[in-house]
Order: sequence, then C-alpha cells, then structure tokens
Amino acid sequence: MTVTRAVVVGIGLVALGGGLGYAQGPAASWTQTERGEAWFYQRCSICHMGRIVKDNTYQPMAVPLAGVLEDTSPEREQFVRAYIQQGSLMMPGFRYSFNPEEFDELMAYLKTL
Amino acid sequence: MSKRKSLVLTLGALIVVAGLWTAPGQTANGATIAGKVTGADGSPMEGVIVSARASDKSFTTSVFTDGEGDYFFPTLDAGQYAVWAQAKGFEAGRTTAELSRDEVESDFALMPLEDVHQIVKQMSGVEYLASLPQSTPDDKRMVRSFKTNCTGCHTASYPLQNRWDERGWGILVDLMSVYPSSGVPPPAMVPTEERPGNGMILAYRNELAAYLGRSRGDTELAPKLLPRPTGEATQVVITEYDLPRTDQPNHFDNGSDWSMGTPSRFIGRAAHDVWLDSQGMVWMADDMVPERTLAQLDPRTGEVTNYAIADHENKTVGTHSVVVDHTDKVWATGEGNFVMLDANTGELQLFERPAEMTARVGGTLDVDSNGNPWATSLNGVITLDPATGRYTHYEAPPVESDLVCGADCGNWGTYGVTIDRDDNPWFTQPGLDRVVKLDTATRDMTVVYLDPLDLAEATEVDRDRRRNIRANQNAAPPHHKAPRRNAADPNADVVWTALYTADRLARIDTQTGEVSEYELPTPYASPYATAVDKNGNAWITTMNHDALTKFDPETERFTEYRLPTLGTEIRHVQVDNRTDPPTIWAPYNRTNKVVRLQFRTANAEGVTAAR
Repeated sequence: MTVTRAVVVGIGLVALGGGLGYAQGPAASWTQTERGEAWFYQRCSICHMGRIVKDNTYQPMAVPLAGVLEDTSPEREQFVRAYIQQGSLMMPGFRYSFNPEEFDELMAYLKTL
Repeated sequence: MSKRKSLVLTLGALIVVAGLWTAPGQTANGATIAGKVTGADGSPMEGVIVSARASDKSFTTSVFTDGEGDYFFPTLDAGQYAVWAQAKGFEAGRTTAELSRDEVESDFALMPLEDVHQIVKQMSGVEYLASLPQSTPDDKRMVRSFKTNCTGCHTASYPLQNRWDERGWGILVDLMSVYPSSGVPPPAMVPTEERPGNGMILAYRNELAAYLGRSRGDTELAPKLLPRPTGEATQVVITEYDLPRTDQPNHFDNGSDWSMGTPSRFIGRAAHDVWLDSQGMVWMADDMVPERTLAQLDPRTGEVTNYAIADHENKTVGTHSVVVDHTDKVWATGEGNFVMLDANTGELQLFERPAEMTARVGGTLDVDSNGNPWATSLNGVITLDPATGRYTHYEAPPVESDLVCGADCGNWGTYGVTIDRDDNPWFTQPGLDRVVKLDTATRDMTVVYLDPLDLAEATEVDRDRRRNIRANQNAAPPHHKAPRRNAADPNADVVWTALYTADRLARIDTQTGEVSEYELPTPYASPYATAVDKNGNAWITTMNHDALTKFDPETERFTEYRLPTLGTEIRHVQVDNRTDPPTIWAPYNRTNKVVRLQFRTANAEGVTAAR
C-alpha cells in the first residue's frame, strides 16, 4: 500500500544568540540554575526525564523529581544532597563526579523543578 | 592586515581573555575577522580553533590558526559577533566584534588550565580512552572491552565524564544491557526474565564495573590530550548549522563551549544522515524529533523546512537514513518501509510493505542506477520497485565457520549497505565480522570474512565469547572488527568499509573480494561511516573522535579535520562534488547541528563561510 500525503509541516524556528535556545553567551555567564540544568541533562536525564520519541511521550524510568526540593527545609536538602552523593541500589553515587561549585549548581536547578 | 594590536588579559574567575579589535580599513572583499593566538608567554599557537557567531544567524563559522598563530575568517556578513578561541588544556579566549564593512582584528592569549577536573571535562572520547590506565595487558584489555561494548551508541566522553565507584558503574552497565539504541526507555532498569539484556555486555559486566570503579572512581585521570592539528589539517573553514527541533528550543548546552563537557543527547538527537540534492539543498533523516519525517536545510540562509508523513495509524514516520537519487528523489528508511520525497514537487510517499511480509526495511539504504532503493533487512537486504510497489527480500547464507556466530545463529544483524558501480549491493554484518555482495544479475551471494584482530591482550575468554555469544556493532569482544557502514567508489571497483571496533578502514576490491586494512591514526577513533569523493578519497566519521577524516588511497595518508563541537557523534558523511575540492557534510547526532567543511587550497572555490 502506498500512502501519499503532503507535507510541509513548518519552517524551523531559528534559535538566535550564540547558538543558544535561552541561556545566552558563554557558559561562564550562564546563571547558576542554567549551569545546573546542563548538569541535570547530562547526568540525570536518562533516568529522571521521560524521553519524547516522535508522537509518543514515555514516562521516566526512575522517580520524577518535580517538587522534590520545593519549599524544602535545610534538613531535607541535606538529606537529598547526601542521597545524590551516596547513590542507592538503583542510582550511582555522584560524590566524585562534581566539584562543590558544580554540585551547588545542580542543587539550584533541582529546586526549580 | 593591520599590525596595530594590543592584548587585554582578564584575570579572575571568568574564563575571558579578550582581544582588542581594531578597524584597519575597509577590505576589498568585504568584512572579516582576523588575528593571532598566542600562549601566555607570547609564542604563537598553531591549530587553535577560532569560532564566530553572529547574533542574528543560525550558524557558527570556525577556522584554525596556522603555524604563525594567525587566523582569518572568510568574508562575513555585517553584524554583532561573538568570537572565541579554544584549545584543549587552555581556558577559552572570548570577545565580541561589531562587524560592518571593515576588517576586525581580534587577538587572543590563552592561559593554560591548572585544575585537572576542568581539563578532563574538555576531553573527547578518544582522549578519555587514551587517559584510562592501560600500562598492563589486563588494563589494556579492559579499555578495549569498554570501547567495544560501551561506545557503540554514544561517544566514550559521555559516560566517562562521570566518576562512580564499582557499584555505580555496575548499575549503569546493567541499565545499558537493556537500554535500546532507539532511546525508548525499557520497563525495568535491569535485566529481567522477559528482557534478559545484551549477552555480550553482561558477559563483561563485572570486569568492566571493577575496572571503571578503580580507574574512573575516587581517583582523577591523568589527561592525555591529542596534539593540536598542524599544516593541511588547519586549512579548512567549518560551518555548523543549527537544526532546530519542532517542539522546543534546542538546549543551550550544545558542545560549543568545551568547559561544560560533553552535552546530553536527550533533546540533541536529531539528524542521523544527510544527503544533498542537485540544487545543493541538504536533506536529513531524523528518527527522534516529533512531527518530522525529513528536514531540508538551505545552506545559503540556514533555514530548515520540516516534512512529515503519517502511517496508517496516523503516527508520524521517523527516518534513519536518506539518499537522494540522480532525479532528486529523496529516499529514506522509515520504520520498516521506504519513504520517498520528490524534491521537485515536495510530495511525500510512504511505500508500506504487505502486511504478511516479515522482513522489514532496516536502518540504512542506497539507490541503484534504475532508481530502486535497497536497504538492510532481516539477515540481508530488501529492495523496492517504485513503479509497482513490490518489495523483494534477499537473505544472506548462514555462517560457514564456528569461529563467530553466537549460541543462536539465526536473525543476525545487517547494518550498512552500498551499491557498487556494477549495481550490486554490498552489505555489512557486524556481529559476524563479514561483508556480503549480492550479484543482482545471478542472485549469487559472495561472503567476505574478516579475521579478528591479533591482539596480545585478548584472552581465551574473549575468544570463547566471540564464538558463543552473539556480537554486534554495539557490543563485541575486544578483538572483533564489526564492519559498520560502507560506501562504494562510483569510479572504481572499491567499497570502503568502516571496521568500527577495530579502528580500521577496509578497502574491498569488488571484483576479487580482496581486503586491505588501514589503521586510523588516532587510537580508539571508532570509524562508523564512509563516503567517497570524486577524487577517490574516502571520508570517515568516528564515534569517539570529534573529527572528520580523509584517506587518500594514492598516498595511503589520513588527514584528520577536528571539529569545533564536543560530542559530535557523527554517524554519516556525504560529499558535494560540485565544488573543487569537494565540500563535506555531516550531521551531529548528539547536538542538533549539521556541519559543512570547505577547504582552503590554492584553487579552492566557494569558501564562503557566512552563507
């Protein structure tokens, strides 16, 4: 069977400004949260974000993190920090991966979820 | 060029070393940016990559410094530019330039990085692999086993920018054993009875976790950086075009700023293959971005147009590979069926297979001289007669030896296919270390077997696994070769085949089946795909090496052209023979970009970086 259909579905939006979608300029000038978002996409997204594949959206394999640090107490934040550093049965510990500044950036982003 | 220069060194936390730019006067050929890059001691630095991006454009232009440390861009459109210079092991130099009708001069003095953590983040896959401990045969075997089992779907720099203990690495190896290359998350993160995982990856699981925990855990690597390019390898103009997603902005962490390391592929995966039509428009296959079957890039403007067709379930068809035939029909492999777009009319057609036909259209394709597409398929190849819509499937013969097969000899994978100049398809079977020719006149198949690498570090355990566990291009023992994608020379009896896990390029004589193998110059490069230009040069993409590599068969010499982005993950390359020398195109499959290489030679035409 042959299916014929037409076709142009849109002209791509041109992302302007240093090749960046929303953060602008070199990474050193990104906000703490923007840098943390980059770490999150690099190191956490494979398990903690649902992957969009063509017309379907898949749920993340691991726990979704929306609200995990919303209005959190210092004690709760410390617990989450230690959990990420140590890992769990299903998650590697990240205590060696980030320097302290990068880890603070990651935590700043997690608070926005 | 004006010699009036001065340097402004900015110290402190910001990684800025800004050059003072001057306007020495209007140039005859329009505006450009030029300057010199030096080290902290004032000595010139060759092979530094300098990039420029206008605020109102969707592409970045890059050039290298020469032996004197000098660089210059081709004529650029007027505008507000960000300009930056990067070299591994150094802080980036950055400035801005307001370009009107004059030449702007921007000099950079690069400061060496002292924090090893920051140096390591800049490394590409080959640099990470070279930096892993490998002074003993056991460690060397583990580096190779990591490469052959863990870098089939992504560059080594992506996982290795993490540092985990043995337990952590074990979790990741378990996950990867069940995680498909399609990117669709599996229901469980570990092997289960229903989904037992990749047998080869799991065979190496404990050894890999122990080695990685020891070498990439609580101790930092001693970085082994590649030397910067010199000579011919610096005489190139590189244009990287954005490929915007349909559903959300591209992510700002896109590999252009090396200080951030290798970016995520999470929303960066888009174009898998590219091919040019007769008008120079660039067509791209995309198996990931929603509402896109094919995309077309206009290199003059950077504008991208998306095309989509739905199947009978009203689901947008994704495509893996694309070939434009000599009549400008854009053929693609689309989730089990062929898809064709007529570039002259913009009309898309989906050729759905008969429901009872189990052999699917696989990932890669080529088109013969009659305009019939051929694709990889179940144990062989599949072709379509577009006039009748009739599909025909050809299955390769079973393996002839017990040296490579796996416990289950059936349903092996076929990955690359190309049509030779006699109109015969050649297809690769990476798990079986063999390449097969189908004679379309007689329907006979000729099988070319590749002997495994003679590696001192490979053990009887590895040889046993090669005999008894099914390998493929993404998971194999360290001495496997895994022929991946291939390309026929239209002017010679030659097929060039990328031996993915062996880091070699194979020249196969299409008349005799004779094989000559050439080792790539950078260890662990992982050659993925090839193309052949009108001069007979082979072009090679490399998963672990952010570069495009040329092989001149006459001199048997490789030239590596480094790329300005970290984590390019190029799976396909094409040539535009309308220019002299030919222009090279390739998609970045991790970072939503498409790259063009134009070469600076005495007689080079068309080096127009800005458009």
